[in-house]
Amino acid sequence: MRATTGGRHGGAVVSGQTAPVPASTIPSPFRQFIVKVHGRCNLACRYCYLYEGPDHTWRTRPAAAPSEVLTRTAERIAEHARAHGLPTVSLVLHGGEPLLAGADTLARFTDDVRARVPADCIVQATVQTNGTLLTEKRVAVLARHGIRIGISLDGGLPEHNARRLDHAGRPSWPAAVRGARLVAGRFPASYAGILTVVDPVLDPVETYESLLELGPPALDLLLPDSNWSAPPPHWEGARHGAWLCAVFDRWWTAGHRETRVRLFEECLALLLGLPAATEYLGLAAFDALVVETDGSIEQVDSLKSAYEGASRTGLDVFRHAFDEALDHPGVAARQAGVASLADRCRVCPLVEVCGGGHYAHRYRAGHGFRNPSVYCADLQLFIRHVAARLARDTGVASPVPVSIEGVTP
Amino acid sequence: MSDTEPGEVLPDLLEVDLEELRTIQHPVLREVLEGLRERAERPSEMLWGFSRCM
Repeated sequence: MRATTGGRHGGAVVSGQTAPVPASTIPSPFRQFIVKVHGRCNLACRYCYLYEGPDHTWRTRPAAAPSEVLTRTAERIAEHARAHGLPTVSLVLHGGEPLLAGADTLARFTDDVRARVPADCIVQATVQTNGTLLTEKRVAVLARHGIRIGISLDGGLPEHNARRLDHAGRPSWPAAVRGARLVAGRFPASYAGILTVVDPVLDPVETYESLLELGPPALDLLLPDSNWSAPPPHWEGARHGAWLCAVFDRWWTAGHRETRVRLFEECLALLLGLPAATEYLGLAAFDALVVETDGSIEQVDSLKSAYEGASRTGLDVFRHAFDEALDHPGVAARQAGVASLADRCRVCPLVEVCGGGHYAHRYRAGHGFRNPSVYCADLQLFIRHVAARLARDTGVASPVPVSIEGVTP
Repeated sequence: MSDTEPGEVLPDLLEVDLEELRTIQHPVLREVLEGLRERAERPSEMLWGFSRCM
């Protein structure tokens, strides 16, 4: 099978021989709705992108989303799905720690969304939790209401999670691992997987293998939310990229797919010219939106790592339809493909795969977001590594002489 | 094929036939391609970009 015209793009710059595909000017409707059902967390992780970063808007918002906010949000999601004929929407129950809202509240809200969207629209619901509040009873409620469970951990060993502490400074690990094992052992069909932020001081293979012990059907490995004005610790020498390469090699040579690693599979998809689903790579229009506990419509939280109010749109679910957010310059920039990228990125032979990296990682105070990623060198290392492994181990591709070094803006 | 040195070349993978690729005996890739096959036919329906959730 060669993919249909709509499935694979031709002429990618990876080959170094053709120009980037021009950006569409027609906005893509939102399909993914991140709803802050609770704005506080029972943990106080020292590196938290939300509570330890430059944005403090969470302090002025309600702790829990009131019922009128949830109802109006469900109405707006249904309105948007109907207006755009969406076959599927993703509902992400988020926070803070969403389970502080109570499993029953999450279930009621999810049911409400499903009841309001058109009959032929599928709602895929996921809760992203730190795992510490997962009990048999709560997980049973979530499972019964078709809500899958994603767990955030920094590795599968206590020492990997040393910075994930509660407000009294106590380790969250015992409760978190109990929650992860409960879901993996008793409710595997509801287990979405584990989200881990890369820490290059930890052994990559040990970290990966320890996560496998928790039986996740999928993993995602995230680069810490950082930017040129606030680079990540251990940034020098593309250590994050090297870390990812080491885990990739371990995953790639396992003899079978032990788990789906989202970043790796999206990179492979892009290298093969297929659409991808990640903020970290590719040029696909970003179509996710956030509703805060007070009903504010916002862009995703990772932007808050740049500066106070970076995710603000000025809109809210009581006064505005989601369509109005499509006109917001920040939203439009994330749907503009190469048009939003720095000049250096636009001519980079990796652009169709890299896509400039995560939008939030491009920020530089005084220069906005039109810069390469602060992880440019890491992304180049990682993408070249995956491409070389794919070519070598399948023997189907011959090398083309293009390359570019990691850059600073 | 090395991949981490400056001046590294990139392989051209865009013209690879996915069906042919599935016949290659790489167990991880074969499983990955099962999922990618559907993606080639229905590009956007099941692709979710938000990174802070599973």
